[in-house]
Amino acid sequence: MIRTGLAPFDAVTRLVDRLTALMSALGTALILGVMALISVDVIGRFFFAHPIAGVPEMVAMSILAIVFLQVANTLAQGKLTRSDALLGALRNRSPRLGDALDALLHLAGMLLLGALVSAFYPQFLRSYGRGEMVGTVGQFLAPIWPVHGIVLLGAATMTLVFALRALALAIRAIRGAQA
Amino acid sequence: NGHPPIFLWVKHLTETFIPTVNAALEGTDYSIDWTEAYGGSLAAVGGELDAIEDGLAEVGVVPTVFLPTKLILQNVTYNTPFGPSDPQQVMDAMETLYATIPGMGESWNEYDAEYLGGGFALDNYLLMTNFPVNSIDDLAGHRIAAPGPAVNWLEGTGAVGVAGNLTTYYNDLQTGVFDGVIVFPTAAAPARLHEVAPYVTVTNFGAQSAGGVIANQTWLHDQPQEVQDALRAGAVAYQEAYIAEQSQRVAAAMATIAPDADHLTELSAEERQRWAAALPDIAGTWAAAADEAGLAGTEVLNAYVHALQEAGADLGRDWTMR
Amino acid sequence: MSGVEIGLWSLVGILGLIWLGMHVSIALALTSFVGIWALRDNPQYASRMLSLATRESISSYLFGVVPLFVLMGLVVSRADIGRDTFDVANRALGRLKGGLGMATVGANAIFAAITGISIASAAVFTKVAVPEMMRIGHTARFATGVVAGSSVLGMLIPPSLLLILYGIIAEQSVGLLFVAGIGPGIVLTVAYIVGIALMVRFWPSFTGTPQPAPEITYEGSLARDTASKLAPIAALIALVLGGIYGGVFTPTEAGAIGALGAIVIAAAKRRIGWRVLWQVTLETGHITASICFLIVAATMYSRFLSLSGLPGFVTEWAIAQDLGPTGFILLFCLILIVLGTILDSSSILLITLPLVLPIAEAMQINLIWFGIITVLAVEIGLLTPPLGLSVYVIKGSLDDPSITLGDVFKGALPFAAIMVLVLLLLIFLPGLSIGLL
Ligand code: NA
Ligand code: NA
Repeated sequence: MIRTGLAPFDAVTRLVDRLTALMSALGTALILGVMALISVDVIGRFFFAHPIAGVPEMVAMSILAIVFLQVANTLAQGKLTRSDALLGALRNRSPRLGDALDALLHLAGMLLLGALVSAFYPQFLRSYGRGEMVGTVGQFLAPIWPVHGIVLLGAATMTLVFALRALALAIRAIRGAQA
Repeated sequence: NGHPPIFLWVKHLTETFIPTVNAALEGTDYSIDWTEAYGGSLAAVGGELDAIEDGLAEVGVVPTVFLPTKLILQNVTYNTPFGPSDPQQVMDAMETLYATIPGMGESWNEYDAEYLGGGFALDNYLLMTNFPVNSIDDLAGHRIAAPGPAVNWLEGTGAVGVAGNLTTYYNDLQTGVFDGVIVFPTAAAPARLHEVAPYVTVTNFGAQSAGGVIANQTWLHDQPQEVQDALRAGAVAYQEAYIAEQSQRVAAAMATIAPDADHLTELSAEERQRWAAALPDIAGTWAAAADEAGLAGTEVLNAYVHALQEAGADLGRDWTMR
Repeated sequence: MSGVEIGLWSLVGILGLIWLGMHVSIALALTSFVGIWALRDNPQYASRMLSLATRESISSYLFGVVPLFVLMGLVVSRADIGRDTFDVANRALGRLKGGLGMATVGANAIFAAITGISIASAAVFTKVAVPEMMRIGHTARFATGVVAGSSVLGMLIPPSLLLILYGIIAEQSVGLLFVAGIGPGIVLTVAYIVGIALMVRFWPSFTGTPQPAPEITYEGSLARDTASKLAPIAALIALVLGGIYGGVFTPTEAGAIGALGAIVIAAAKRRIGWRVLWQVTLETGHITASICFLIVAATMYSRFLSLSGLPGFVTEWAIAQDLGPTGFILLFCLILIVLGTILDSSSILLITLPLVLPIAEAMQINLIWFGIITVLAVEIGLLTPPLGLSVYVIKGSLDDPSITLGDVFKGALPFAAIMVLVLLLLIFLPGLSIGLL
């Protein structure tokens, strides 16, 4: 996390970080679940002539959930892909200027994710309200809204992380980094 | 539409639907400035209806086959296998349903969409395998891939039905993940499936209603009557052009996938009935599920089978019988 | 401004924002968002496109297995299976001049048969091979360069995440792509080994002067030790490749089976417990999220591009240039290498392929061969500054602050040059890749 030295602000950041870590843990469990699911399907199909119905649908839904459970934590840990050569050079010369630029870049992320949240919310209401299902009658059926809910939650959390990081960087740019 | 234009149902959107609409609008005060987007450049396969509902597209071909849970009633054919092998009979019966049962059209309205017409059907599904098949007894223990709803067509036959996807059939047949696929000729030939599954069994699973030309309802109702009429006329021409080219393509495709008698088996009428009888009550389960969702499932099922019987179609099983 | 102009400006915008340090996925999606807004004069339209791309671009079986291929690579790297392979390769080649470097390349080639991502190879062999090479007198630059260079084998030799990605975008058989990757993988391995032999002899200022490698100590007989060290990786290779080509599972399902197999073997060797498994899976999740979020953004970008009409424009332009297939491929590879300096491999594929696949198809270029060339050209970017993922991973895995990022990049450069030579070889000798089909 980016420390500002303002105790209440840093406490909020820590709390949000814990939330993202919790979501990330769920996503991690889901990865192992998908691995087990496909393995059991393959074994069942090959050795016992009994595949599991709905595996393609379940895997397709899971990946969306996995990504949006993990992505806020990925960002919070600074692991979302970026090229920080210029930022690094700028920070070496003037840390505060580097922080200011980085704050702007995080602000852009916040705005984009905010747009996603606002556009995805009606989508979630729709699939929830209609009880939209995936699969085939007689084989496998599951509601899609929980996955859409996770996307919404993940995107909202990511917006929050972007906002907090932008704010933290801005505070540091103004006050200078506290050791 | 999310498919590339090599597919007939996309091709005739450009080649028939749009020119017909434009021609119908000539001499009126209106014209349409078309922006075309196919092959996943706007929506992926299965995302077309969402794109229309969101207003990202005003008009599109929506393949209902990929939306079995959103457009339940439109998928009646997939739940009544061993129907007519002639796509024209299926399309006519579907038009009858649209004309007589309000629930058919209304089910589109829920997605802010309206059926313009131009319902199209895929050609007669058949079985392609890497082993000869003369009766359902030959299927025991073999793994057969099928598109989602068609997995039900293998229940009770002794074969292991696996949900599969056309894009990976070739590879998976080649390595032996599956021993066969349920597929229609005009898709099998370009995918060169006969190279890896040389035995073609004409099971006559039947042609399948697969989609239609759809418009965003809000947008459509904002259009002047002339434009609406032109769009519907375009959809009618679209259906005619589609079926004309399809029958040519089916003949060519059959010659490609089954070049000689050694590789072509027509399932006898008795065997076909035996297979159909071995299946669980697919149609009944489907209709009950649709009824429960507040749709006219049983009504559509009965009317569909009735329309086919009136047209003298060759049905492998009367799905109205419980 | 016309659609094509907006499309062209978007390229400038994306490169500029990435250079400034914006997250790559955000730069892609934001530029597309603004671009669609400009094209349609409607921000709501743009945000609904964003929502649709989010919902449908990664939600498929094929993307569902991405984390499993990553997991397999990471488990293998934690379970010291890479170290064992290195020991054995070292035993075979260690007495040659530069033999330790050659052993690294050879072990990486074998290791590549069970990992789908290059960063796993880079992480494993940094820990295993760099200290050994430096101990016998190689320079830090050469030692890290060897690891960086040979790490690209991880995504050239099947299974390969990049080949799967190409197969999805180009709608080509992943199985055929895998087969076509074997020949080029072997050619690149041999080219690296020859290159190391020449460098050690003629460029000692770069490689350092190695002493003979010390004998590796082992308990019991030589044969038994070799067998026990090779058994896990041989079993995994047999499981993954045997399963795919024996018809037990599909190339996409191989990720799950391979990951499970790696976990079982690692647990049997008592090299992984619940705690480590959890950490590794968590790391898998972060890598997956980063890659897939990028794919969502890139889908948005390619939809924006086709809305702008740029792809059609470029296609017509390229055909009008009358370059011919070879000229077109050479030009495309040059573009890929340039993009490779600043973008990561999957972004490059996702950005460029929608533009060039129609051209390649119109020129009747074999799309399997084209895929192998594309992937190799893109992988050169793993080694080039400023953004070279393999180099970043190596730097991150080193416990030695005295070796700078610049050192690793400089060490990797000769290996990037060898890649360019092999790339040209593949372009002029298509049989090397598609001869096996
Ligand atoms: Na590999
Ligand atoms: Na690079």
